[in-house]
Amino acid sequence: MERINRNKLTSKNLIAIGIYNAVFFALVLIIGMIVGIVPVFYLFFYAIGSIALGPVYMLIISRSPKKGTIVISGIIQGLIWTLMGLWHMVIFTTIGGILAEIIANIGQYKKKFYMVLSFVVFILGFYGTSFGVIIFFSDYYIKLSKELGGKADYITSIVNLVHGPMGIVAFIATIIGAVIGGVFGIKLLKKHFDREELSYNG
Amino acid sequence: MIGNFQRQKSGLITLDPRIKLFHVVVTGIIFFNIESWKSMFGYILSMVLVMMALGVIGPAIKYMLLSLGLLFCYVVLPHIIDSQVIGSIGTLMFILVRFMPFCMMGTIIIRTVDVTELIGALNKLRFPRVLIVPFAVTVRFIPTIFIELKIIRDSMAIRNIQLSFYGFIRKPFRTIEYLLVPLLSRSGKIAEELAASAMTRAIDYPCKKTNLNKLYLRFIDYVYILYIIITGGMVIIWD
Repeated sequence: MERINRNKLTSKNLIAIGIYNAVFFALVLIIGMIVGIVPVFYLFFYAIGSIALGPVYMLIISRSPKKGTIVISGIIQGLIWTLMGLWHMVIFTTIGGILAEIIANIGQYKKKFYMVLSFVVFILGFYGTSFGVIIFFSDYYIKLSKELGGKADYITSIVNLVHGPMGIVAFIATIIGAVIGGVFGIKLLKKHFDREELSYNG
Repeated sequence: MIGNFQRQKSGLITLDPRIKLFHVVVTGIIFFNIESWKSMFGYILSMVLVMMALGVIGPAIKYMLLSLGLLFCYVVLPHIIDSQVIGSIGTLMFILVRFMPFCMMGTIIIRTVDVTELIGALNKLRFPRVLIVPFAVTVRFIPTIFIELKIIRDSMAIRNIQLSFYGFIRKPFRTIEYLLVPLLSRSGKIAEELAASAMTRAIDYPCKKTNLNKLYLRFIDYVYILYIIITGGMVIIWD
């Protein structure tokens, strides 16, 4: 009989990754529905959302602390959005996933500092998608406002707000939110899920 | 949002899922290349026709009416009422219209492609196994997660724990903990059961897996590819 390679992803790991990514995606949708009501809040979407997403991310890694877990998660998140139509998202989430994987690998999927850092990078990958769309749209906005003449000053002011201080504030808020979410996730995991951990790593 | 991934067989035509994925990419390219509302509306019309042919008639009519309403806000309303606010609202509405083809594409895929077909398509596109297995699991289980969330909310109501926006503002961490911990432990159980079930069906056996749905390109698929390319090209040239 072949020796089982303990560092390779088993089907059990793959299925666990799949299910927790379904939870991750469902949470993103729900938070999007709540936060998306106010357009300006959209910038702070992941700053608020990562408090709920942190525990899920930490649980994914604790269920399968092996090479490839985070990259696969990133690609899957992007692929689902591709199915929903937003195919440019897969680029950003994959890049975020690869970087997060490298960071988590340095910490051997255990050290808290590296875990939180990798979660921040992962979330920034998601943030990059919405940011990219805004940058693309701003040219478009400005063109439209020229067409409309003086009527669209309001829109140009929003674009300026996004490009200026607001964008930076949102970026920093996302990082802070992700740090809080990551720390909260590790705490929650210790409190509720520590006992089950052994059964999954085989 | 995401319904059950069951194939509707009532449509006039059935298409290879790979072609639908190709259509997603084309839609993305068009999104970045056209600006005028006329060509946007033309593209939406062409997609409504596709939806009708595939048998997704209800949503097709809904999207049609919605985009007509939004375009009315953008094109006609500023001429009737001359005010700055109306102009800005109209522009925002037009941005919503630009996202409409994405939503329609998503609806087409969700309503007409089931998980088996999707796995078959990804297999044919040479995706690695480490990606196909979790991806199929994710797609299959998103509706289940929503059902679980509803059950958790119900049992919270039984225990007289209110789930409100105000409560979320006051104690965000506790609210999230109440929601998340049952959900995560439930999904952990599901993962375990599913892994056992998949192993009894020889997911680990290292042979080439066959698929129930045989995928091959038929005449209608080539017609569809031509249709996509012609409508997309016309819309971009027209712009």
